[in-house]
Amino acid sequence: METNLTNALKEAAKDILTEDVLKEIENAFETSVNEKVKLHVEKALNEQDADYSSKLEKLIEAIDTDHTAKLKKVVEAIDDRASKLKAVVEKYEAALNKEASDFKSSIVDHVSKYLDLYLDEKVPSASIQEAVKNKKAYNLLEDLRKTLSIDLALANDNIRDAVVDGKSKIDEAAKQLEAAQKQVTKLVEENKKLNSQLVLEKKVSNLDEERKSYMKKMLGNRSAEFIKENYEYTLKLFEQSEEERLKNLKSEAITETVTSNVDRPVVEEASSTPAQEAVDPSFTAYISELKKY
Amino acid sequence: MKKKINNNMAKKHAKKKVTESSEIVNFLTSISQKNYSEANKYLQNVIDLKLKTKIGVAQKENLF
Repeated sequence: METNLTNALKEAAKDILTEDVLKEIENAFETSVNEKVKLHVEKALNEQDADYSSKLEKLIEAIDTDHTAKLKKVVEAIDDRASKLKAVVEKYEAALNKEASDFKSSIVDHVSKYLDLYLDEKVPSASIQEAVKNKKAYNLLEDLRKTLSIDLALANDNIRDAVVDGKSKIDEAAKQLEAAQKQVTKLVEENKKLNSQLVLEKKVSNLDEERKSYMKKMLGNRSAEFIKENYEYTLKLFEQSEEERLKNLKSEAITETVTSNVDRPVVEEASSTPAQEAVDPSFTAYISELKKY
Repeated sequence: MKKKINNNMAKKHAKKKVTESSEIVNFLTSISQKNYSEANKYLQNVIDLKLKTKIGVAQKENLF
């Protein structure tokens, strides 16, 4: 390019311009051309950039829209699947919770029924009822036997009659014994009473009437032992009470005599005068003045 | 008073039923785990309970 331009200028100027001038012109031309090229390139690049940017934006928008739509479809599909999965989960949970428990209870029920049937076959209900009745009857008979005091020996008629006869005799003998014991008790009581009366009579035979009646009153209903032990003491009590009675009578007679002396009117006047003197001093002065004349 | 007695009997019966069913469940569990000795015990308990129930029913009937 450079050589072409230099050659062209050489031919046009035909030795008018020197080599240096030509080089400068060439340099200046190249510089201006380069600047213009730069500007054009920059402009072109800018335009291209803007164009590409707009295109890229459009592309991105298109891609976004497409992706959004696709994602929406995917989300819808996932939601659909999720709802289906939820339904499946719910169904299986229900199956586990309810159906499994139903199945379990039905299995248990069936096994129970099977065992009932087996037991009915092997051990019939009639046999069980019969056995229960037998046991109840046996227990009832045992209770009756205990209540009525019947054992196996008593079940025999001969032995039973003998036992009944013996029982009636024993009852009669017991009644007789009771009556005899009552009679003995009564006789013993009467004997004790008579004995005590006899002892008391012997003891009081040498006493005067007053003492005798007192002693009989005090010891009349007592036993012979009691009379023997307490006779002397009771007699002493009577003697003491007699002495006390005499003393009391004596002191009462003395008290009555003293009381009659105190009631004299003279004694009352003598006792009242000093009291008045003590009460009224002017009265004393008046009496003393009268005594002077 | 009669109602109370009936309620008590119903409760007792329900308790017995629950025990019986639980014993059957234990029996089946032991069978599924191949624990045959335990299964035998539970089955024996179930049979005992069933026989007791039958005897109880028969006892309620009057002798005469």
